[in-house]
Amino acid sequence: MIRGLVFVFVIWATSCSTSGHSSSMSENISFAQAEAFQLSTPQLMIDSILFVENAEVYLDLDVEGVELFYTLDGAAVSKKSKKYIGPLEIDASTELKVKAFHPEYLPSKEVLQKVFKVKALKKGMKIHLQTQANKNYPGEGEKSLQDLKKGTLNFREGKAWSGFQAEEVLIDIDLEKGLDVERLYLSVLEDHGSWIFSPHRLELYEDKKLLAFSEYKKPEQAQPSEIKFLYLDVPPKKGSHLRLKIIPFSEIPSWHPGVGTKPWFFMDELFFE
Amino acid sequence: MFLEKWYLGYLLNNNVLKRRTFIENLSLGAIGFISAPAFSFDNIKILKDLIVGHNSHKYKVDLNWGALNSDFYPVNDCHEMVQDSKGRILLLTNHTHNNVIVYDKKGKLIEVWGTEYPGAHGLTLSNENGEDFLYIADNSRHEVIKTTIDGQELMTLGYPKESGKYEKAEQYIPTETAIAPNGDIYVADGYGLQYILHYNFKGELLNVFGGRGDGEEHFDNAHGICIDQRSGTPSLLITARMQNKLKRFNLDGEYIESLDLPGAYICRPVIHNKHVFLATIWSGDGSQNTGFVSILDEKNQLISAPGGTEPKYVSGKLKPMRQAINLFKHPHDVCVDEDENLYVAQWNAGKTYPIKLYRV
Repeated sequence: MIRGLVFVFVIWATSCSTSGHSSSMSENISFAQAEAFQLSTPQLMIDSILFVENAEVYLDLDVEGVELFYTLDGAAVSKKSKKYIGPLEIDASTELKVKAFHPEYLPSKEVLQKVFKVKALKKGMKIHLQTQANKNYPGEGEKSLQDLKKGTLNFREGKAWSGFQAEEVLIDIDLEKGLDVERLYLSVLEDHGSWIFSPHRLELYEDKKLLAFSEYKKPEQAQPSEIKFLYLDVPPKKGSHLRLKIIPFSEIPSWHPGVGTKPWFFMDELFFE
Repeated sequence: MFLEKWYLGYLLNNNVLKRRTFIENLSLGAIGFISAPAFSFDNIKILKDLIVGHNSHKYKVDLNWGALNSDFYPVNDCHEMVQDSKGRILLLTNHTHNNVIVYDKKGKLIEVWGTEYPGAHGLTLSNENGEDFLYIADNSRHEVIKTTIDGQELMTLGYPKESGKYEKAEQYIPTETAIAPNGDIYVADGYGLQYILHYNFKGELLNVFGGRGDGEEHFDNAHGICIDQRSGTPSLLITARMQNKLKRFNLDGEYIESLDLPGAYICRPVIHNKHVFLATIWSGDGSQNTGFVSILDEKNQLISAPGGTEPKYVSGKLKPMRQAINLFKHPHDVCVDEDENLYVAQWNAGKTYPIKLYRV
């Protein structure tokens, strides 16, 4: 019985095997198969990466049959994760990961976005950029650092990003009298493909006294492009004139084609919580 | 790209593909008939030919078209492609071993020529009194060169000093030319000062327009240019690539209109019958390897995006476009043949040869 069925199956299959292509395609062409291809990364739109109450997140990839899944706890995304059905409301600092799945294509790469809940964004400070941005990526100086307009991963677009290729970048900060700040945030770009690295070290001074610093390791391999928030906790006792010193890595690491040259440093926002 | 080809080859060589393709072609009825306990299809992955594009313009993909032995026929960037009046497909690459590679439609090599075009970028075909001519825009030479179809140089347009806009040749980095019905030559200085230079057929400068700026008549990366004769009155279509716009001017250089294609970094408009085909080098926020192909209908609406997301208009505005799958890296030009099949040349794509799309 089973053997008979197999026989029928083979005959049927052979008779149909050439029916798929139109006559203009009768040449012997090996067409690419859908399952060899990977979905592109879904679009992630967020009303504010920094928020006081909550942030709303939209995900999108207009491909028929696509399903988007996400996690909010830093875990890798699988088809067992939560499925996206509409805008997400996020009310705590979290690491959002998103991935697209499709019955025919390979799943997309994971998209990662960190969002920060802050107690309050402080106004009442003046900042003075002491180091001039490179003339090709000038941004809008102090203005673009404080407008809360986030740059996108495309650093060439718009005026949000200021780019530097320097030993150090100095920013003087005048706080209004009585302004109470707890944490300084600096938003920077990591785009190794474009020779842009987040900095090696941040130092915060009051006059010449070091108040706080933070140091970051040199990456050991190329990381996905990302907008990062670096921060420094500001000690409670401080004056009103501060200086932030940003120190990029002295040279691009050995695994990168730009080895030995000075990396680029890009920033788009500076603010206090 | 290499991996994908390797993978496909592996499947074919091991008979996996053929057997699986048979399974795909079974009708539903047949599957029902043989779903006896002895068979389980749950674990057999059904392979399907990739189909890209939307609506009326869908395609199957041949990744192997025109692939040559790179020791003898190397390419760097595959910048532009045209089809001549004999039906041959010409590819322009910035590899000076063979700047022009001539194929038949099946991808068989016919001939190669050209060793003097280190910045070979724009390739335009013009049929003048029944004879084919080529215009090569060279980024490195800061020149546009007119040649016969087999590569004999006839005329060189250097940097347009006479325009008063340029101080030195290095400021002029032409990306593309378009030839009007009367033989006038329009050159887009897409990597230079963003002017459009208008010459007569003898190469005498008649007009300069465009340039950098914030006005609608200005450009950021005036990368590609063509003559649009679909309405009966010829006009110029010029891409403003970084602005994600296609701009129309009359032949006297007066601005007419702008078409927004948000998210689509369009390289060069190519008109075939009533449609406009545009290689789209980046998409979304402009990240690397996010290209696809854009196809506009006679009303200049985006109707199909092979390799891209489904085009959707909301209150008359196109929703920002993105790449859908990683088929393309950086499409730089599309050539459309008389069978409505497409040849896609790519910049910065691992020195791979063009990809052919067969209309289905």
